[in-house]
Formats: sequence, structure tokens, C-alpha cells
Amino acid sequence: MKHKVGPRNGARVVARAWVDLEYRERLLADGTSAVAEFGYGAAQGEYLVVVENQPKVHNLIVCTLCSCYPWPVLGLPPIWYKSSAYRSRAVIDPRGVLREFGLDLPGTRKFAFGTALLRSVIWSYRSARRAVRN
Amino acid sequence: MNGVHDMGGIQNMGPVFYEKDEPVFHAPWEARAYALVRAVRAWRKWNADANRDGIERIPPAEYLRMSYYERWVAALVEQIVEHGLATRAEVESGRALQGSGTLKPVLMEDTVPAFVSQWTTLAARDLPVAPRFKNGQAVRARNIHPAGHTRLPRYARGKAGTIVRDHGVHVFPDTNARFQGEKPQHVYSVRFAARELWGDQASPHDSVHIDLWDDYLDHAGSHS
Repeated sequence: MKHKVGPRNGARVVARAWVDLEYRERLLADGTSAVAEFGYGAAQGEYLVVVENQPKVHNLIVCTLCSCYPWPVLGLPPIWYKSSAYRSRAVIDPRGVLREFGLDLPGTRKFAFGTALLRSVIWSYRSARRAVRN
Repeated sequence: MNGVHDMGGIQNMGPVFYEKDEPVFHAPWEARAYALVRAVRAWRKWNADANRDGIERIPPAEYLRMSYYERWVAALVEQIVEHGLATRAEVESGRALQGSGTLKPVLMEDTVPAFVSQWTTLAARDLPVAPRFKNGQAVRARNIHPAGHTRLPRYARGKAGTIVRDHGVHVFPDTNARFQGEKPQHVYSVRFAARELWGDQASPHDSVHIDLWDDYLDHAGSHS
């Protein structure tokens, strides 16, 4: 877990989605299969849903009931994700939580996803838009 | 169970601390705890829902005091005892009693990668179970309070939402956790307006998507 699994795996997936629009579509339609193309999967990544941030939509992922996290693409969950503070507040005060991370999003629509059986991954839309214009 | 693990909406848990360049494990014992749980789970004596149920059964004051991996170890010990893999006396002494059995296959260093990688918690089932709802349909989360494991958070019960995605057929955690059958059924992403959940203090632009099973939902307009 320390050496083979971690957020670099997820970064590879996202980087490909930025430059390969067909892959981006597959990733959004069926995250599990698209991520498996890289050989990533198994424990805590059996069913993956990928959502995309957009100029006016910011996604925030939380598991309020335990600490579900997409291990194969992001590694084991960090302390903040597992903390009582994040698990309790992300759904009732998402903007306040993001401000504590230094991200202020006035006027942005926000969707907080409460995960359960599903492990969700967020990636940035903005770079994909650049890819579209290129 | 209306336990302290069901944290969504609690407001006095303090600020969120972000640790820059956080290590994967903060101490060698955390890596050992992780390895121990993955190794024991690979014998498949209990499923992922039972595992979560075990963590949720930790008494609330203990649950809040413990770190993530402390909870893993506490639940593991209880489940090892419940499933007869070791007695409490064996766990406390750290030694196998004379004449106690050995699990097969015996886990050796060279067999760890293959054995442990077998552990998955795949909950999807390729079964022709009809969905009760379709995308765009208005639903209401049931106002139920199961005494055992459930994935229906307390803050969503009785609230109205909309089906936004059908995730297909998956095992039902409430029954699976207590070995009462998989009861496979559709799971949906259900969108709740933040104001439906939290009232006028929430932004009218925000919403919360929660993964909910068929058995947690009613058609909108009905009350249970």
C-alpha cells in the first residue's frame, strides 16, 4: 500500500482524461471499467463513479458513516478525510469546510456526495476544457 | 443503528485539520493493524458490511476516543472472537491455547500478495432484479431506525429527493451485515436539495447526493 497504491494512480487516470476525450467519456460513464484500463481496481475500488468539476459546479466527496475511499486510485484515506470534523460537517457546511482548505467558492453551485458502497473520484473540468479548445 | 458513527450534520466536531505531506501510516503499528485486518479478512469469515457493523458496535465514547486504525483493531478482535478464530483469552495473552486449530491456508510471507489480493468487497450482483424507481423520479427516504447496520444516514430520513443515477444491483447492507441474506436490489444516487435537509440556513444552490438502496425509499408523497 505504501509503494504501489496512491494518488499518483488517480493522477494518471485524470491526466489521460484531459488529453483523450473518448477516454474522458468512458471514465464518466463507467468509472470502474475506465480505471481498470490502467490495471487499477480490487479492494475498495470495485465500483467507481467519477464526477467532474465544472466552472459552476464543485463536487465534494464525503463518507459520513465510515470513511469509504477509492483506495486503488487515491491510496488510503488521509487523516482529514477520516476525521469526525470532516465527516460531520461536509454535508451541512460544505462551503465552510472548503474555506478551511483555503478554497472560497462564492456563487458556485456545489454538490456534496455522500458515498456509501460507491467510491467516487473528482477531477477538474477546467483542464479538460483546455484540451477541448486545443 | 442510530450510533455516533452516523455523523452527518453534527456541528461541534471542530475545524478540519489538513496535514501537508501526510505519511501513509503515522506509526509502524498502524501498518501492522492494516496488514492484520487485510490478512484475516482474506479468509472471508465475514463480509464488508459485517466489518462496518463491527466498527459501528464500538460503544460511542470509545468510538470517538479511538483513531481510525484503533477502531479497526477493536472491531477485528471482537470479530475474531465472535467467529471463533481465537478465544478472548488467546487474544489477551497473545498465545494460542494448547490444542487450538490452525486456519488453512497458513499465511506465509511469500504467499501474502496472492492471498491478500483475493480480498475484495465486491457488492455488485449481475442479477435481473427490477428497479423500483427510474431516473428523474421523486422519492422520499423512509423514516426508519434499524437497530442494526444500515447505510441510510439519519439526516436523510423522511426527506424528499430525486433519483439521478441507477448504480445497478448490489447486496443490501442491512441484511448482509448480519448474515441474513444478500437481498440484492438496485442502488441509486439520490439528490436532496441542501435546503430540504438543513432548512433555510443552507445555500439554495447546494445539494447532497446519497447512494440509497431500494428498501430505503418510497415514492414521493407517501409517508412511512
